[in-house]
Amino acid sequence: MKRLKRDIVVIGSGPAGLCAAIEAARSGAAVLLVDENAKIGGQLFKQIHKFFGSADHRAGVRGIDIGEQLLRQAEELAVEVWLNCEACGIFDEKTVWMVRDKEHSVAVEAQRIIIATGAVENSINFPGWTLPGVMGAGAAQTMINIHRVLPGHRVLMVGSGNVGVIVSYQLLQAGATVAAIVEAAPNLGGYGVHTAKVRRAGVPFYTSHTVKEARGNGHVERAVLVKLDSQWNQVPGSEFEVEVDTICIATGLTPAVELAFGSGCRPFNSPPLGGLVPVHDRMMKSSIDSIYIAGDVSGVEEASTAMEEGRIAGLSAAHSLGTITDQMFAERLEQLQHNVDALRSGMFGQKRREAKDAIVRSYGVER
Amino acid sequence: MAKGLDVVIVGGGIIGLAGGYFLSRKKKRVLVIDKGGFADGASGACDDMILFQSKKPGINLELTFESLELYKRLIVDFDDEMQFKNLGGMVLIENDAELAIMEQFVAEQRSYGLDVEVIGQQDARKKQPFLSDHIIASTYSMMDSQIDPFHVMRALEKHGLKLGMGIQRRNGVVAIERLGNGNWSVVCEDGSTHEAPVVVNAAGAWAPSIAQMVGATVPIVPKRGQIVLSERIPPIGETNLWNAKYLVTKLHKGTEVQMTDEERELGLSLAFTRSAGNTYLMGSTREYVGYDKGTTIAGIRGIIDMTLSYLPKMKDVGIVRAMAGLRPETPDGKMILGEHKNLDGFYTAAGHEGDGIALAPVTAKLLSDLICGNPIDRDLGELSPNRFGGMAHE
Repeated sequence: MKRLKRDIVVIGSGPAGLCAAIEAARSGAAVLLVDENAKIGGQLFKQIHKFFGSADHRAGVRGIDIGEQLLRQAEELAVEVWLNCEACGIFDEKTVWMVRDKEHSVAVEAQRIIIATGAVENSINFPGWTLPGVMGAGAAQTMINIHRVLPGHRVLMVGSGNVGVIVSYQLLQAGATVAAIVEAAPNLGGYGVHTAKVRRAGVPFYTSHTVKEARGNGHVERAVLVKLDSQWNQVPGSEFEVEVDTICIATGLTPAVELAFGSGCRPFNSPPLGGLVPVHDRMMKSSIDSIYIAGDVSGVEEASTAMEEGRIAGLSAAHSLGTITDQMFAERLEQLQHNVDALRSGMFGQKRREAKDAIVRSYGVER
Repeated sequence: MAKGLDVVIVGGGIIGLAGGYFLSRKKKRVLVIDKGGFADGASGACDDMILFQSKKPGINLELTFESLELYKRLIVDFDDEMQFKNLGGMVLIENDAELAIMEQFVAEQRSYGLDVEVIGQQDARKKQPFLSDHIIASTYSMMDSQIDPFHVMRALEKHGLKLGMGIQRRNGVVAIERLGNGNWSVVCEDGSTHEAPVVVNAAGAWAPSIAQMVGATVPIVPKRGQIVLSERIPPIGETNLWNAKYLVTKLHKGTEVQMTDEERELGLSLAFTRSAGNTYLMGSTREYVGYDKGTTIAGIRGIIDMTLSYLPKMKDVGIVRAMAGLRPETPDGKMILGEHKNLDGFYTAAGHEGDGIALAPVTAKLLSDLICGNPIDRDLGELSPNRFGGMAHE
């Protein structure tokens, strides 16, 4: 088996991993960026909507365009990229074992490892949930925005958070009809601007409702919706059918923590950020000195924050190898942390900020 | 100090839980204490086999028969899902030398009442269509069975609790002292102490350190077994599989078999079984690495390469996980069960190596009979913790 050495290996090439690789390479480290997918960028290239935030965060720029810019930067900085490369495990806190092209395995000894494995979509189970036509909202988004394939013609969206409303709007743009958006909670979950666009397009929202069953012969033909009472119990007799051929599930994300925890990173339970995450400090270092984390795996937020976190992780990892001076590090870190703090301010950001602070505090206490 | 207990069991793996359940059934007031969580140790990182074919004729084979019968009764008593399956098992034979040894072994096992036979290449392929061409024959026993360790432990715990058994987890035992009244006092990490006339050391690979607390010696060493799990796939064959290569080296010390350096170093031998979750468990290594429970690249690769050499088709199947457990190994390959000499009321029930799942019920039954003073119709001398004398581990 081949055994190679690199300064830094970044696992996952989504917004966080890509930015971590760029920042670390810019700081003078030899970086290997790996991703199990055939394309770089994670979810970034299917985000055809404009991002929020200030000018520093390239607000108003579409995710896909940000992705293109980052790709060019990575190329200029000669970041080494391995696609179709699955990281199976981290051994002895520094050796990343990977399977390339589903053919052969290779172990790379890294001085620092940055885990940016993102998150996975949550599912909900109901009779008929295995029928073809039931899928994650993220999967539907990949189909329309990457592969240019319409998953169906009449769609039920389950979940009214940002993913639910953004994907609903993009399904409309792609030519599908969104028959309804159901939300189990009494209030809608997404940003007003996205929600309003979908509402203006005439899509009905059903709060305090969920999908009870998917029906159909061989594929989804109908969905049975049901009202929920204040205790989230189904109200008998309130069922009604909607005719749909596709049911998209947008019920949140869970950090993809397997690799981190399998490596021995200490967990911290953060329900507001998606559940168990590897505990980390402000520099994105995990409980293991050689392992850094960034992006949704460190707590589910959004792409702009993931990018800033990625930069912090890349910068810190490179600095710990002595590739930049303490002063350069301090100046750049201050800038990046200012950016992150700005993204975690305001009505929507405050909760995330508090949740992040709790993780960082736990890191300090236990060490 | 908590009083009113009859038995404190140190170790909440399958042996401790089974012992606790059987003793509770005999109206004993039992507390099971474990330093870890549910199924944290070897009982949660193992395969699911009740395997007859690997047993040399003798007490291990006899106890396996008894254990299977006890399992069948537990399944009826519990009325719980324990995922018992009787798929039968095959030991794969690769060359004439192995065939000769296995034919003789099978004859001995048959004389002990085990329903086992040697079948030819064609019959083997009927049961296992994806076998590699180089397999020339196989043994087959329809008695080899499986039971899911997690379901068993959950059921033992549930029914034990119903009978009043207590369980404390994440609370290691730090000391065991003899009190003036003759009882034992078990001191835990959290500062609590538990008094009982009887203490059972069911700590598996950690049994030596528990025994040491009372000045006793238990010659168990941890032997690491790594296991690899596949994704869920439809059944690819009828039975479970083992290979003869490793078995023949144990049956005939000095038998020359072709093994790569890697196989030898890792102690690799094939154990291929379909789990309750419709995944395949592929094992296993046998490594002496102290108490390191980690998996290794060499171990996982070795298991995968070995599995592919017997079942090339598995190359199309994804691997989802790897795990390792520490099998408690004794010098003579037999479990340790009984009361320690000059330590009234201190028992050990440990050292099952790879047979903890298979032998848990019979171990628990014998343990409860010993503690309750019930007649036992077999001589347990060869299992006694006192059998080793000054014998050091090989």
